[in-house]
Amino acid sequence: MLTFIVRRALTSVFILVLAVSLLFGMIHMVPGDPASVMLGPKATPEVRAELVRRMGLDRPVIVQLGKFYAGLARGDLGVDPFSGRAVTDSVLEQLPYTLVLVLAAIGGASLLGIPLGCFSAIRRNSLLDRLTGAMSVAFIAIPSFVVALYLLLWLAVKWRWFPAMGAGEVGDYPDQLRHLVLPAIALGLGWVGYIARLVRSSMLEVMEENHIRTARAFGLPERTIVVHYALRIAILPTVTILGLGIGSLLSGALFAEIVFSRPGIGRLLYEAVATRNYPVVMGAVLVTTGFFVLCTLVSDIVNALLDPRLRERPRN
Amino acid sequence: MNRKPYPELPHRGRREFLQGSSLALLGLAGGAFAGISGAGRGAVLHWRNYLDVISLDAPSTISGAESLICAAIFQNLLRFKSDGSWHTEREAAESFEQLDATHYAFRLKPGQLFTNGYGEMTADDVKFSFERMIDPAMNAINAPDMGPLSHVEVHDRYSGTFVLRSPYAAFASIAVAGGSGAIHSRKAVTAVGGRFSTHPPCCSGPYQFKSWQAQRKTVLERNPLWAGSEAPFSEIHVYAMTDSKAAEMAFEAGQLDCAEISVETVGSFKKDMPPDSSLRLLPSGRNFWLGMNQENPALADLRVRRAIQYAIDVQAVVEAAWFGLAPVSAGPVPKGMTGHRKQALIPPKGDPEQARALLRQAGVRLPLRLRLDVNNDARELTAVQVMQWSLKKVGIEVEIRAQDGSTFMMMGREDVGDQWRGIQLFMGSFIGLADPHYSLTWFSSAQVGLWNWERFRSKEFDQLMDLALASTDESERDRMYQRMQDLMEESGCYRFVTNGIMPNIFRNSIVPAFRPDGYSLLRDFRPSKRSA
Amino acid sequence: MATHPGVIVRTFSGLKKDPLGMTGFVLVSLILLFTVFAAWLAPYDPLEVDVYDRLSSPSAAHWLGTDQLGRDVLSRVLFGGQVALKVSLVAISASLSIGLVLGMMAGFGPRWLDRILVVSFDTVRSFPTIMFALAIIALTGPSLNTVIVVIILTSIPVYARVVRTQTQALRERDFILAERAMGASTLRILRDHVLPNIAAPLLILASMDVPSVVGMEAGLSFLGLGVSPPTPSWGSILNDGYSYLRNSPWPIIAGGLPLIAVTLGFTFFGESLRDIFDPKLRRKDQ
Repeated sequence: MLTFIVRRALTSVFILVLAVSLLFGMIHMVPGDPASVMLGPKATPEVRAELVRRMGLDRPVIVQLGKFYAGLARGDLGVDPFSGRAVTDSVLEQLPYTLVLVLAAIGGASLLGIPLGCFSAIRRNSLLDRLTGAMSVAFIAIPSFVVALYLLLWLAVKWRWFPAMGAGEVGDYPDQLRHLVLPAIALGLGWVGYIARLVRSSMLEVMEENHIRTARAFGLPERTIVVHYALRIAILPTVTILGLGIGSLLSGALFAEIVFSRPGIGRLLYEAVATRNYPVVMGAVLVTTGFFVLCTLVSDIVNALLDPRLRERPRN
Repeated sequence: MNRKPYPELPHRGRREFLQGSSLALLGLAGGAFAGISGAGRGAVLHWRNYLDVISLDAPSTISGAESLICAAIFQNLLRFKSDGSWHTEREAAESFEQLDATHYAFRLKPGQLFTNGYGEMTADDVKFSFERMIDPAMNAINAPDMGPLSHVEVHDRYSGTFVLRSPYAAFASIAVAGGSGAIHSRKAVTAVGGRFSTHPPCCSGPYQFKSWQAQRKTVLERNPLWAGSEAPFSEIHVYAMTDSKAAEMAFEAGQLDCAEISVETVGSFKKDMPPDSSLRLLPSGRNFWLGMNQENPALADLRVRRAIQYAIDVQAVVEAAWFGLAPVSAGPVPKGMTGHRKQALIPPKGDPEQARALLRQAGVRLPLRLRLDVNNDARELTAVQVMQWSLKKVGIEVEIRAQDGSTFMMMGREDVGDQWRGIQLFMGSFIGLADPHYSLTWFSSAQVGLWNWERFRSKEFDQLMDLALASTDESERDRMYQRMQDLMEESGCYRFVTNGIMPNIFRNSIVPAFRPDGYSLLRDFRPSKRSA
Repeated sequence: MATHPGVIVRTFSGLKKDPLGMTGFVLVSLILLFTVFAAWLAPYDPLEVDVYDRLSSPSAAHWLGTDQLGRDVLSRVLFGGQVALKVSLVAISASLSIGLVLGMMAGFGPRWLDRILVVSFDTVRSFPTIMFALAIIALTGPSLNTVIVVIILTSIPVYARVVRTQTQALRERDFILAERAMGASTLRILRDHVLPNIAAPLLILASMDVPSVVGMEAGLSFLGLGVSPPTPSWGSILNDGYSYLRNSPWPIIAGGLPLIAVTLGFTFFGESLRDIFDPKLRRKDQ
């Protein structure tokens, strides 16, 4: 088991490095550069060349990449050429907003989805079960930005039940909560159905197991059985989702952050690309990709814990 | 000599949203209504700026947004009046006069103090401030504002003379009254190493710098050392919001007292005005036009370019993109400025029949396919789609290429690659300044390969430009600048659209003041005369 | 594999028993109908500009109102479907084919090849999709073709992994081992035995992939990275509507509806197909 974890971890690191380096290269191939953007139209060729030289942008891409990793080893992600702040500061400032959003979305979805899944499993083929099945299938695939736009249109702009933009006042938690509702719904709506389905099917599997039948034979109340045995097992798919779905959650978070003008790492990334803010792009890419890889790793390990077959190497 | 424009950093459209605008909302203190709590001493002004501060130091200010703040915390010898004209009045100067074509004499008012203990403002400080702008070692981005300034002679503690190498009509309005003419203390700036960015070592205006938080706000406070009448507000909070929609929401939420808003929302605000507020449509000094690269083979024939000029219905463009609120323009020089051109040769509605005839004469095979580059901004995209439709009706198929602000800005530059050859049509825009020279200098031959993407070369244009810059006769300059714009239109490279409009919304509890280009004169804002 | 008439009969008898699937099928058919015949059904040219009738509410002349250039929203929505259709067809068939080949190579080939391919897939999948799209599109400029390429590149790993898993599972089956013992070449085995067995699940996966592909194109067009103006795409209609949200909500309402319809339709239909032809897949996609 340990070898499996180590092996997977190393592969993850390798993938992370590969992905980040590739992206670094792509970003540098894009026309435009931060010197031009920063100086704007005031950039005469001489002034621009000077700034380019000062920012180290005239060195070959490989050299710049090397400097990036060297800095990374020191814990230094570089300096934002526009604001002069350390990239680490910018990224760490924005990251919590995205994390909060993602957690709220998943949390809300679980809160609704797990009970739904349980009930559907217990009362198979009832109306509730079939309705859940239909809705879950539907909501999974509706693009989150469409949901976000509709929520914005009706609940925020038309009826003004919720704020239309921003994340709320710093330190004012109720206000921040209000600002979180619509984006979290937009992001999490599809997941309600997905979680419900997963919970339902794993519960159905589990309910047939021997030890459950034994417990029933012993006369334990159904509710105890459900909560103590089946539900515990049913929670696990939620963890699996985090691993599989984190990529789409981060993409979805970007859209939610744009539609609702929320701060967050998705927006930071997007804006940094638009302004060719290389240090911030790399910092944000590193963080998002790292986060994604980490979640996949954790979910793979969890799955391997559950299913020993997955630990083995593919046979030749 | 390269003159730099005062174009705005490109609108980023959707990406405007992305620049920390909601961070600015986050920085707003407390949830309480942050408006004017009462007339008099304790009042705080909350004002929206369209960009964040990168540098408040004259040699390196990047955009006009910074100059708006500088005008409140630093003194210039002259400043713009708040009467909606570009006329100047004396600020730090007791007297300022032009001795001859290349000499200007000034005398400072005595007793004007710099903050932070840096003492009295002297002529030597003026010398220091101006000469560092043109000092090659400083590599000042804004050096071109100074024009042909050679040096400053100091005669005594308060008086001196500016010596220019050649005549420069825009000296007073751009170099002296503009952001580049801010007077800094030699002692203070030298003490911090010769330059500063976001934290000035000292101030001299009615307000002084208090603090700056990146992408949130800049705070100015009343300057107790100010020799003139006391500043009306105890503090001014400047919120950097590139996104107009965020600013509109903040205003509605009661968190801003004055903000420039976008044209789209004027209608909905008029229908549903926030309580106790007013909307004002101010003229703008921007300039929007369709440019054509005359060196591109497809556009080399003058008749083809004229046809395009005739095909475009500028009124429809303004109706769609500016909601009919901005006036159609006939050239870059805005109304109210010397050289403003009232009418274009080609009528605003265009003339599709004439366009078709010209294309026939030119023997062009239709449909003619052309590429149009535009900044990825909602308003400009709307404008070019109207043009695309008009051009389609005369047989020209336009492919619109929306570019990122950063990519778009560098498109016509020869020093970044070969992409400038591929330019055919494009939507140009920038902000002018207080002098018509600034609206037109970008179209000279010297600018080919820099900002003159049309590659328009006209000897007469260049000559007139130099003559007008050196002339002091307003009516003569007016004639010359008008002729220059005639030349631009005759070349077929330009179809002028509009100078835009600057809608501003503000609370009735304050009385704002604006420049003729719609930007705020922060210093002149005051609470309105009402009881608290 | 079943012959054609058999497949169709099976499909319909299955659908008759599943109202949701039937609904999906009807939706899909309607969408395809409206999209393919958009040119006949649309009341106006989707590009026709009428600046003096902008951002209007639904009326007899314009059933879904007009956008910021006075263009008929209904016509734009109908033609927007053609973009979605084109993107889906091209992207899915390309990523399916390439993913098929790569997946079979990974599943059947030597272990080192498998490792390389799996790592490549995981690397691509670990990019935030938008980031990937941004970098590529910033390089080449926004265009529909670039969007299609990006979608293909990000979809290949998905199909490839499924094919790989299926191929690996089949590899150990008795009849395959027998064939190999008899000296059949790998290629022949892949073509004659593996391919037929994975075709069905793969096609079903593809049909259920339509909503996400369409959603991705819409998302990228919404960010301004997709179609060029004035081409209507559901995403670009939403993008325009968002800019002028306060002036008229109709472009947003109208742009979102077809996306929801496509999602519901193809998902219901796809699930139904899966239940009819390969209920085992139910486990697999979880």
